[in-house]
Formats: sequence, structure tokens, C-alpha cells
Amino acid sequence: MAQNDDPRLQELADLIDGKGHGRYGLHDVTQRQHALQAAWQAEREGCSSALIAAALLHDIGHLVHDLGDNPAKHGVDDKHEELGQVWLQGWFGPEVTEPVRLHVAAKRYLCATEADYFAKLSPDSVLSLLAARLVRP
Amino acid sequence: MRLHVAAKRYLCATEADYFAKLSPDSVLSLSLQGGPMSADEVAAFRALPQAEDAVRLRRFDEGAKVKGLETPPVQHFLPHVAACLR
Repeated sequence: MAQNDDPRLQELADLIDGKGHGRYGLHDVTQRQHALQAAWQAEREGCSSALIAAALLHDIGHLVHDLGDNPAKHGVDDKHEELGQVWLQGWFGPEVTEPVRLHVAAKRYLCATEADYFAKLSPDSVLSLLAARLVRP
Repeated sequence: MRLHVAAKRYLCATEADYFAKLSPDSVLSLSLQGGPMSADEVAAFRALPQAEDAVRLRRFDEGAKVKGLETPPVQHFLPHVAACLR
């Protein structure tokens, strides 16, 4: 376990606080708010530290590349979950990096296994799902 | 074709300004282009050790789009991150 003064923690916090002011997709929340809301849900549901960390960092791939706020709108699949996993894997084990890598696949999984999941998806989730299928047939 | 009814429900639920940008054809074609996983892909996904956590994370992701919802700051979550750093 790392110490709470491990400089990597500040680096991650600076990424979220410093680069997370961009809009999250088509929504009225920032990348920072999106990360914090995801982590907070995980914490309130009593998840493991690994899943809380994964929730906080799941879109770190958006913050370490520069494709704009909503690349799916332009038909671009940014593969941010793979960028995120690659970026994180030197610092974390698979209990953190695998949920990050798989969180887009999980959307396609839920669309296939839960009849009403697709109906509940937000428009930009549908667009990015479409972009993912065009790039990864 | 299983999802074309779901796609219609999706369209009905979509906000008016998104509706204008997104043609019904493009949403319907999503279901035809195999957006959801195939049965083989579903089986392969379920076999992954972190599949369950990935699905839980996905639901947090979908729920983390609430305008104006106050949360603790980043610092609050760093002890969890520290516990996972190698």
C-alpha cells in the first residue's frame, strides 16, 4: 500500500481537478464532476477501494488525450478505456485497471442482456456505442 | 430486430434538441449494426475475472451525469486510491 503522501496521488488529483473542467459528453457536468459522482456512488454502495478507485479513474483516458469533449459526436471512437488502462497499469493491478478497460464493453454487454438497458442509455452513450461498433466490427 | 421496440422507446425518451440531430434511421441502424454483444461475446465477457466489477462500474458511469449534484472533493477519495497503488 502506498503512503497518503505518495506524489502519484497528487498527480492523479491534479489531472482530475486541473484537466477535468471540460464538459462530459453532451451532459451538463464536467469530467471532474463525472469522476467524483461515479466514485461517490461506489463508496456509498460499500464497494471495495479498488472499485472506488476504478470509478474515480475510469475516464482518465479522456483526460490524457486531446480529442475534445465528445469525439463520438464526430464518429470517432476514442478508445479512451484502453488509453486509461495503459496509463494506469504501471501503478495499479487488474482489480483497478480491468474494470476501467471493460467499462465500455460492459455497455455492449448490458445492451445484450438487459432488455430495457438500451432504452435508458443517454444519446451520447448510443453515439459512442455506434462509433465503437464501426471501428471494432 | 429484438431491439427495434427498445429503440423506439429510446427515441420517445430523447430530448427534443437531440431528436433533431439524431435521425430515427441512425438510431434504428444501431440495433441492426450489432451494437449489443453477440451470445459468444456475452459468454466471453462473463468469463473475465473483473466482469462483475466492470458492470457495476458501468452503472456508476451511467449514474454520474447529474447536473448540480454535490460530491466530496477528489482528496476525499485518495485514501482508496492509495490503498491500490503498487
